[in-house]
This record gives sequence, structure tokens and C-alpha cells, in this order.
Amino acid sequence: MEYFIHILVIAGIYIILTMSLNLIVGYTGLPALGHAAFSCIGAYTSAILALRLGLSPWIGILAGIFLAVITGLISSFPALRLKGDYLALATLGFNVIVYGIAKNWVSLTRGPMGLPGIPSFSIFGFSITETWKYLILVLFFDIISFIFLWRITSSPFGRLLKGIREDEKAIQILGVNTVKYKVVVFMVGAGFAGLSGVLYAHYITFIDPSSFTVMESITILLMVIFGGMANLYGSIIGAISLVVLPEVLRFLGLPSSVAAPLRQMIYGLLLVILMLKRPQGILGEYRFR
Amino acid sequence: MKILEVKGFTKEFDGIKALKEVSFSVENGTINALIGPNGAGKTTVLNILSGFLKPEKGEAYYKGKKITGLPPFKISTMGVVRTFQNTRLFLQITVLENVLMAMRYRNGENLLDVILRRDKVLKEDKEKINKAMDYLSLVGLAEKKDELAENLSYGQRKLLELARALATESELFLLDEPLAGVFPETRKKIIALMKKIKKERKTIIFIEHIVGIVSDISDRIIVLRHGEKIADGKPYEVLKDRRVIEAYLGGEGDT
Repeated sequence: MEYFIHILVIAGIYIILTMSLNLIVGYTGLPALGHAAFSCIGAYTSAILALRLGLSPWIGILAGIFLAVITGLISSFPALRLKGDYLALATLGFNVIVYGIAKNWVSLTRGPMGLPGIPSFSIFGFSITETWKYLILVLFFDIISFIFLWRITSSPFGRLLKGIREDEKAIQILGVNTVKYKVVVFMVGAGFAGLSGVLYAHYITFIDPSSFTVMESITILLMVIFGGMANLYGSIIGAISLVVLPEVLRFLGLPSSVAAPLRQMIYGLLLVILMLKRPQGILGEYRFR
Repeated sequence: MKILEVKGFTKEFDGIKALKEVSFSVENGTINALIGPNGAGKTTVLNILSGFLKPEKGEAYYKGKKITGLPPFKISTMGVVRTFQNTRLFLQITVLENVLMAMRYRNGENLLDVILRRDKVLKEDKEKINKAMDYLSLVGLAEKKDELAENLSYGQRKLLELARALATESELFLLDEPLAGVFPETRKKIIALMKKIKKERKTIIFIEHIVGIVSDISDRIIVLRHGEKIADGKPYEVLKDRRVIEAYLGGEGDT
């Protein structure tokens, strides 16, 4: 049971990442491959504040989101000049830079040794140590994130984002400053990724740079595509499926010598089949062209 | 009153002159045709006027304000809209949303309002949807409002793009071949819409190949050839011009 709840907490954290990346990739059509970098900024900010200065994770959340938003702002500059594959590569490079900083700024981050002993959240003096309580906390932030992002995407503002995705030239001749919207989208997306990083750090209580690699960003992108682009419900399904699926395969009762590699292969095969049969994802309304 | 003044547009692509010292001005409330054989530089003129290209030399003034060098969205907010030769719609969203995209919102485009004052945004959206439906009815696409734009036929796409342009409530319409390749019935509709725009004291500059149509509806014709303006004036004057006839019949015409 404890294990099951743990899986749900992880899925809950991924839901925030996936929904916020969907805002950038699915709604606005900007292929970004560096979402884990923003998560990294959030996680390290809050962890360092808690460990060095003894600040509460609640302050850590604010600081983590703030710094992630600033990072999002910086990372949006290449997005203003680049398109498609080039943008994907630039954001990937950005992820590598952030990862490199986390790994090499040893005096601040302890580098590859990571930061152990990060305290958990506490509400009115009661520390949230049990997993199920943390699950409620994560669900609370899931709901807030969903409402926030849903209000954006289901508004005229969100419609404009789709316009940028569909035809950037055409939306400009209608009087829309696309630069402004792209910057805002990157900042909002990064902010939520930062939030998920904070939640992750205080849950696992240990972070090291290996949790925030490009591979991690690709996983989040997979969740977005799997669930469906430009659909927030899809992102919820995508995050849960891709967190739970590998765990379910664990229970197939395969002999342990083949279980692990087979699990990976089945997982990969399912993704390939989905992309062939439903390129827009489970609930998606938009597909890459 | 002159709504647009083009002064000495010169544009080069890889050393080849696409436009050479092209100047003209346009009166408010008129329909102006830009004609000429392929490669004459007609679309280049529109691209410069809408801000997608910058001329090597020359300036354009809209209502006395310089627009060359401004980004496309700025020019658009001043009241200049354009359509494209092969239409540029937002294909994976609905027909209604395509028109709504042309309307600027006071609250609905403000991030804080969108998150904190949703009621207000929804109310504003409702008003805009009503307005957008008016434009869709005007072009005869009201019934298709929930259809994805990519499911429309070519002629319907032309109409939708025109509805979208109308919805911006611009005063100067730059239409790149609005009549090309559509069925006669759609063509009639589009011509009627152009006349309606003129009736509202708004101005059109459009590109067209078929001389017959052009002389019927335009107040004025500007003829380009090899990037140079070779004639400019009332239809009956221009179409008599020896150089114009030569441009069209002299072996390099394409219509």
C-alpha cells in the first residue's frame, strides 16, 4: 500500500510537469526539450534554502518558482529566434547547461554527491512525514496547477497560443505580438516545473543532478505526447500512465533475469504502437506536422 | 485623403532587383488593383507593406505615419491587414476560432485577468463570439463554425480568410489574389464583399491577374513589370497603355 501511494505521489509530481510542458509544446507549439532544467532550479533552490538557512519549504516553493520563472525568461530568448528542431536542440542545450552547473558548482550543490536530508513540509507545526499526507499535499498543488493552466488554455489568451502554433505569420498580421506570448508561456511553464521540483526535493529528501538530465526532459515530453497535445486531461493521463505502466509490468511475474530488460522493451514497444496508431496521443487534438 | 503613400520601394533578392523605385499613393475609400506578369514584384510590395520584408530603399506612410521598418503586428494594430495568396489559416482549430483570433480582447488577453477574473473574460468572449458570427454569416460560413479549418474547401478558405481580415476592423486591406482559383459563385461573393468594404469608406489594394475583373471593380490600376511601375491610373486609361498591352501580350504574360 505504501508503495502504491508512493507511485501516486510521483505521478502527481509528474502531472504538474506534464501539464506545464503541454502549455509550451502542445498549445503554443514550441518543441522544448529542457523542462527538467526548470525543475532542477526549483528543487535546488528550495533544498539549499532549507539546508543552509533553515527556511521553510513554503518559502522554498515561492523562491523555487521565482527562480524557475527567471530561468524560463532567460531560456525563452532562443525561442524567439529559433523554430522547430532548432528550438528543440537549443532547449536541450539549455538543459545540459543547468545540469552541468548543478553537477560542478560543488561548493553550493555538493555536485554529484547530491544534497541529502532535505526536510519535509510542515503545516501548523506538524511535519508531513507519512506518504499519504504528502500525496494530499501533491494533489492540492495538482488541482491548483490544473485550474491555473486550464484558465489560461481555455481563454482567448490560450486561443492565441494555438494561433502561434498554427501559423505565426498569420497571427502577426492580426496584431498579435508573438514575442510577448512566447516569453510569457516559457515563464509560466518554467514556474510550474519549478514547483514540481520543489515538491520532488522535499518528498524524496535527497536530490542530485542525475534526476534532472535531458533524458528526464524527454520522458516528460513523452508523457505530453502520449496523453495528447493541447489537452490538459491528456497530460494527467499521460503522466499517470507512464509512471504506473512500468510498475505494472513489474508484476507480470517474469523471471528476474529477463524481467528488467523485457520491461523496458515492452514499454518502448507500447510507445511505438501508440505513435503509429494514434499520433495525436490518447486525448490529443493536435499532432506535429 | 491619401491613406497610403509608397515612396521609392527598392528591394533586392540575392542581387536581383525585385523592385525598382516603385512609388504610388492610394486614396481613402477606393479599390486599387496591383497587376502585372509573374515575377513583377506584386507580392513583394504587399510583403513590405505588411512588415514581413524591409526594402533596401524607400518608405511607406500609412495615414502619414511611417510603417516601413515596423514589425508586422505593429502595422496591423495601426489598421492594415492582409490576406495571403494561398491563404494562411489556423488549420487545426475551428472556423469560429479562426475569426475570433482576429479580435483583440481587453481582458481576455491579459494573463492576470484570465486567471483571476474569468467571469469578465467569459462575458467579453461572448460578445466577441456574437460579432465573429456576424462576420461568418456575412461570408456565408456560419454553419461551418465548429468545423476545423483544414476541412474547408479552397474557396471556403478564401472566404474565411476574408472574414478574418474583416474582423480585425482594419481600414486598409491588402489582398493577395483574393479571386484566384475560386469558382465563379465564390468569386461573385468575394467581389461583393470587396465592394462592401469600399462602401464603408475603407480601402483595398489587391493583386489580380484577370484584367476583365480588375477593370470592372477597381477605381485605379497600378501595373508592375520586372519590378518597375509601368502604368498607374484609371482602368480605361491604363488598359489602353501600349506598355501594359505589351506586358500582357508580349510573350511573357502568364494569364
